[in-house]
Amino acid sequence: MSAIPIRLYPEQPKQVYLYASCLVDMFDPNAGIAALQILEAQGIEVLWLEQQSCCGQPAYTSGYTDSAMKVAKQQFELFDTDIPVVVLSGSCAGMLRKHYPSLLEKECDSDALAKFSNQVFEWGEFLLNICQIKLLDKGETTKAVVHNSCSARREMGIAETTMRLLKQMDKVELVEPKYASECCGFGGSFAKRHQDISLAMVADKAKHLLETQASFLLSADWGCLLNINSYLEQQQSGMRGQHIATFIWQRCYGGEL
Amino acid sequence: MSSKANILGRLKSATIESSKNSELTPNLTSELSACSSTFGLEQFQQQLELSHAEVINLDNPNQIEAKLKSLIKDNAWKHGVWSSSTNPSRFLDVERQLSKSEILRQVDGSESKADYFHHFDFGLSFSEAAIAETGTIVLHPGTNESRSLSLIPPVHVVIVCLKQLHHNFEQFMLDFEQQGQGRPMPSNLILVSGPSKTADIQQTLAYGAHGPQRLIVITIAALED
Amino acid sequence: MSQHIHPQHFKQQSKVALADPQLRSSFRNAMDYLQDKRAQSFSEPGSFEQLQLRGEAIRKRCLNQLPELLEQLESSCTNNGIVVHWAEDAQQAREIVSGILAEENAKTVVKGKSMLSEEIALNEHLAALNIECLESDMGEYIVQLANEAPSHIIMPAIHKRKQEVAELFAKHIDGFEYTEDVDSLIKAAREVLRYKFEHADAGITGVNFAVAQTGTLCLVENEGNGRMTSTVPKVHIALMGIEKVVESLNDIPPLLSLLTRSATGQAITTYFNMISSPRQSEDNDGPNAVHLVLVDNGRSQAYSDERYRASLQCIRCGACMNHCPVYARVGGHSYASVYPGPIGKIISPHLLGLEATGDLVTASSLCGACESVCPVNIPIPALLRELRSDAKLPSASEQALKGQASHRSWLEESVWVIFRIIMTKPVLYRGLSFFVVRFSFLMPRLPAIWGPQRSNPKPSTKTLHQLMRERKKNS
Ligand code: SF4
Repeated sequence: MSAIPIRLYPEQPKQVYLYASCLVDMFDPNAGIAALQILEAQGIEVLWLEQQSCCGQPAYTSGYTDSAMKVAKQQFELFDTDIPVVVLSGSCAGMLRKHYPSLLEKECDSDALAKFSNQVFEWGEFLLNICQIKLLDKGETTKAVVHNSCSARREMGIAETTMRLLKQMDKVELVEPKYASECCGFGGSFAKRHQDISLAMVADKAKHLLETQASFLLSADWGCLLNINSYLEQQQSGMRGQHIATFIWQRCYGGEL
Repeated sequence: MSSKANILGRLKSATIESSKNSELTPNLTSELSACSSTFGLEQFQQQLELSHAEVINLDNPNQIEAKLKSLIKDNAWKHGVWSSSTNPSRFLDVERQLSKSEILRQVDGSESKADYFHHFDFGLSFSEAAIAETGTIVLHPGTNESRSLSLIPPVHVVIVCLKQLHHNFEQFMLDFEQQGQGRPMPSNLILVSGPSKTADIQQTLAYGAHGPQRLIVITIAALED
Repeated sequence: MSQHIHPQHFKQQSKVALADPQLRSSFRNAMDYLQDKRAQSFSEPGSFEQLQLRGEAIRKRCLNQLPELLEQLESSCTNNGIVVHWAEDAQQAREIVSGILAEENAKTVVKGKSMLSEEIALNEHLAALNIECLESDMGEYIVQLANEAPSHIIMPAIHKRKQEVAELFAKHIDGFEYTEDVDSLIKAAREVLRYKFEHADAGITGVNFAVAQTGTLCLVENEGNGRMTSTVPKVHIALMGIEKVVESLNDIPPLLSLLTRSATGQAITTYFNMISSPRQSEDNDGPNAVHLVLVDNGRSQAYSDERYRASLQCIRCGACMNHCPVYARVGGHSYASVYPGPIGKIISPHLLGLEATGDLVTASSLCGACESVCPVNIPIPALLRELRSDAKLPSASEQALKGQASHRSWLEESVWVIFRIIMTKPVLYRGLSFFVVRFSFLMPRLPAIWGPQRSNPKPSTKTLHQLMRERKKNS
């Protein structure tokens, strides 16, 4: 993809939708709560749609375009396109913003799709660029390593944004691993279908993450975390990744979840 | 049906609203910034040296003869082959001297493959044009010059006329097209940017893969008018 | 080549490669080196994007007029004295080449680097006719001695360490004194190959670009073997995929710059060779005859599909493989197809059909690294997704890509139908997720979904949906 065009950001809105992703829903609901509370702390009313499930990406990348399309249509139609959709994953945000318009081209109104695409923001991107959030770090001095997902980096173009957001916490020494831009080996059904290759990738990723000797591993994407954590756990490493929302909530808003 | 007809038939029947596509593909050209000749010369030499070529600067054409003599002596070259410049008036004296040399033979098409592979220690030619940005000389084998001269002997010595220093390849092509209006392309046109090299074994750079191991470029400042 | 096992066995082959630490480090080192080189050559911010935009526009414009440009190329070449041939498939291409060689009574051939000649398996064909066809690119020469196939489209012997090269030379080159010094190795090969250049009856090369307006064949190289091959023997045969034609000379500079910078980080290669005709009466040397063989071999199929046409923009720079995390780990041979790496996963189905290449199109996490460096902006991940989708179609459409619908299985199919039903019915979805978290303690005991080295991911004890409902109740 050629250079991602510079995105112009609107004023802070009164209301947003929170789109948590099915992975956060099932594997880390506390990150969802943290994300929601931080948004509320900016004076924003957060709308939670009971009917949200999954963006359809697993079927889409596996070649089952038809199933993906039906899921996407159902999800798309939940939203009023005048309100921003804040997504708790760079990968799902990429799906909604970059792929829904072409996937639903034949099914839905193209203007509505374009409008929707413009309303999709990844959570950290939204906080930094729209809320202009200023984080006040109340935690102990520590070191954290960040893993940015491939979709966040290359599809959404927000790897730098995430780093800038996290850098606001002045007692956290923030590092990136060697080969930071390389994929962790998740890729949805790829991790299952091509286990050996995926394993070689995640093993290298874990090695580079551990080499930083950071106390925390942070990511804005639960897909990568699922993969990396599963590997770290089986290797009995002490490192475990967490969502940036949880980390920010705990350090800056001082709460357990 | 012939293969040609089949292939073209398949391609032609595959119309994809191409008009729509061509709107998306404007014919962009880069801005061609003019370059001052001194800056260009510096860049040209730097780039050549980065590519492992040897650059010799002379003040005027009168010095060529002495320089060549010392090169031949220092390297113990016994046989060379040379071709005349296409712009002889500028190098008339030099060429007169070259044709008198005992160890040098002027290209006339009678050289055998074996001569090139086993006999000549070096080839000497004049370059038509050069490109600053990439440190490139342009060769134009044909009537005066042979393709083999700059390719097969282990050393290629080339005398570059600085009047024809193009900023980059793009500008060279534009000038070339303009000057050549209507005339057919020469049978062979070669851009050379250093001695032959390869990095095919473990990414280790080695010079003299198949072509010349050394490229010696002689530039003459006085011609820069 | 003999090592072209089969892409159908990609999984087994990659398993073997993954377990070979030597091979892994050869590739990792080479990839690091090439990535670095490329990054340096585009270090000026925006320089890549600007040039990429032009490169893409040129390739798109030329492809849009492909049939017309091919006809123009043929007539320009013919006017210049170059003989043009058309081949619909690999077999026709091979027969054209051997036909020319027979006519010229050529028994020994030197070949410059040409991936297309690999694609049409030319060496085997000529060997069967008792014609010696020697690879002259250093990397190609090495893999030919080893009786292997190239493992990279730009650096064919990228998988070989210098020790292995030294051993090969010791075995095959008379009088070679064992050394692992790269300069000496190159010198030894140089001597062998110079003898061959001098005595070969014909030379075969590929073509990087061909200019329709002028009938000019362009060859890009550093070594000089391409020049040797196209200069010294009395006949020069150039093989070219039909997609490589461009309109005018002015299309060349941006493409060349993109090619060399993306491939090896060079601003330009040592030689850029433009051939527009055989030796003319006034010329001092050069081949008496130049033949151009235009090869389709699946390209018009890709051309006819709006989705896949973009793959023909490829200028074969290799950057996508240099940046591919899968390629870096499994190496080029695992793919067992002429074109490895990301773009190979798009081309191979067009050459071999989807049935044989199903594992190639799924062997990607769709990380997008390839697309981000492609100098002509080919949307490789999107094309892979389309190929996956084609492989799963309920039935093949007319004039379809070979092997469409070949990877549909009712089991997988049902999984995604269920997925769809659950995800589009909120009640079902919440029921399922509730079920998952309720029985999350079972997860570790289920069969390992990602193999024994990764534990099964453990769901939380409550879903976010549940927490949100509780939150609503409490407020
Ligand atoms: S697909 Fe793009 S990056 Fe890959 S070889 Fe072709 S031009 Fe280069």
